[in-house]
Amino acid sequence: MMLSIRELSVSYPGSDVVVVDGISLDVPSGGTLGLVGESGSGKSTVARAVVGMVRPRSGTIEVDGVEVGAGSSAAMKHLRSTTQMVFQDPAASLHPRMTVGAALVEAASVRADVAHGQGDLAMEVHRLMDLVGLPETFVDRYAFELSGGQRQRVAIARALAPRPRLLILDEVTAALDVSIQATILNLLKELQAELHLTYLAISHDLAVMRYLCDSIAVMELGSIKEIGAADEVFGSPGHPYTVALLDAVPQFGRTRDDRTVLTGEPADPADRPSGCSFRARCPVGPVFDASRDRCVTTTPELAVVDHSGPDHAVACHFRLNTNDRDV
Amino acid sequence: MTEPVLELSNLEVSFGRGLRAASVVRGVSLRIEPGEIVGIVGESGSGKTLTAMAAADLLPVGAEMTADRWTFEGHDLAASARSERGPILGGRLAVVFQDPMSSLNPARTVGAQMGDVVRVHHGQSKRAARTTAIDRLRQVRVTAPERRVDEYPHEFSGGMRQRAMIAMGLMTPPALLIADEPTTALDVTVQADVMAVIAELNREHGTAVILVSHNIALIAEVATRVLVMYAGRIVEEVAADSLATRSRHQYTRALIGSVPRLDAPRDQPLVTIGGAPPDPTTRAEGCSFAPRCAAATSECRSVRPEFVESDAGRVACFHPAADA
Repeated sequence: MMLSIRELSVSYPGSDVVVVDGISLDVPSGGTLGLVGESGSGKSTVARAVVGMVRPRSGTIEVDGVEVGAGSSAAMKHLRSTTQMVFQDPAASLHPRMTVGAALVEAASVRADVAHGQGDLAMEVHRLMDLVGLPETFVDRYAFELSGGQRQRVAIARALAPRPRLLILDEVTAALDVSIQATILNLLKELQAELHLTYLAISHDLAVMRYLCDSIAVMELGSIKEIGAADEVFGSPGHPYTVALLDAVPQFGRTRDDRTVLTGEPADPADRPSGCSFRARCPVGPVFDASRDRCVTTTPELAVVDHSGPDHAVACHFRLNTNDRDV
Repeated sequence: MTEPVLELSNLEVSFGRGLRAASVVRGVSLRIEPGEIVGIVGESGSGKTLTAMAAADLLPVGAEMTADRWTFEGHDLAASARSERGPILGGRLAVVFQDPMSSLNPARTVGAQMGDVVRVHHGQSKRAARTTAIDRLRQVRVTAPERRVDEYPHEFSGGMRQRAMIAMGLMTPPALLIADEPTTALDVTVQADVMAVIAELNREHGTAVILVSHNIALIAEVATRVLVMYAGRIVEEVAADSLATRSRHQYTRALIGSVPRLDAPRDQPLVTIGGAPPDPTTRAEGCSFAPRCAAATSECRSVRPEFVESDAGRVACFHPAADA
């Protein structure tokens, strides 16, 4: 496994609020796992824990077989050479007074195994720009001279500079126009095939995740509600929260009337409800069917779905049978 | 024929003068009927936002606007001074922007800001305005409105703030709501909820809506009629229910193909549009989409296509696409 997470729990420093609550997941080398959920679901915190920006409260994180959660200097060194992250807002992650070329030279210089002569670095910058489809003339441009899509290409090129094997993609297309999003998603797929990269991708948009990922973990209030191969999760979603996320994505040929719209706010992680954290908004839960008090009294655990793939699991007492769901 | 809520004809918006003048809206005409939802879709820089802002008399400083005709509920805005336009639009036109935090005053409670609308335009008392504000917050499904009305904007989540902005527009039911990328910064679930609120406002108060977005799938779900803008011009107008199958412009088709779909094969690549939109300081001959268009011929590069009727609207393209 390129990335293996076991029973990971995370709180932010100085706070007792459990933002990620005992999640486990695996991403094989060359695979793409999508973490999906709303703001506050803990998906970005998982990513931050993987790259060492926040220390786990408990649990383990292994990147390419090396435990990195403890944050030892050996672990951080291992992380720097294997793992890179791309963020949502490329305008904020690029230095405003650095040219594209300078930013890429800086990123390429951290590698121990390349000769650092001017010529070698120029070659490396050329290689990186070529990989992400930026014309060579852009080498002297500043971030403000680039469009949103071009900036994101620079951010991806910079992340590729240390030749990582695992790339964390945190809402990388959320700030872009849909037409630009398409070019970045296609680019990420091409890069993965060419460089045999492993992706941990994060988004609230399930249609984007379906296109990019081969397995999916749906998170809500810090825990995984549904996990499995993308074909299974999208083909026969078992958790009502997954269905609500699917229904929320604007799609052609669908009217607003034939889908579920969640109302109300997600639960507050500082004031965690008993039982299922989704129950206050759940369209099949106790709010709509008072007899379903199990959702209030007992927290549902992830359980493998019958008649689906062996790794397709759902955490719901009343999981849906959606094999013939028409999306 | 009924009187339109809003009518603009041959709208031009530009910045600067002389050789460096940037022409960002070029000859746009639109007519919004009472109670309809019109979507304006296009990429960044297409002029969709400036068209909407020009209609609302909210162009930024430095922008020059001309129009052959500009009316709102029968009032001739083109012939009115700025000071006269305020009372015509005030209370009848509501605007919701992408970032609600920058449109709300952080130092005043949400209720006080909402109350301004009816206090200024209808002379309501503070107490009556607060009651109206609570009622409107309830309508846009803000939970516990009696408590929320006295909170400050920073105490609201992103989706709640956007709903508060819509509630502010509802204080006196408006004839027209202009929503410019109202959900772009929000989660898809919150987006769906905010769109449901806008649709309800339209249904219950007969408020006409102009919805501006880069997401053509979102527009298709909510709007009845869609205007597609490219490089400052409307290039296609099409009934929303025909958008996916019977839109004709090559650009419209490319925008549709760029949306990731839940019902397409997962390994089918998304449609991308090579190149970039033209610089607004240039004034090219021919169709402005031609340099990026796979179907373009020499005619497209030399003559600008005029609108022709299509079976679900009208289109400015020499090589309209067949049914999808």
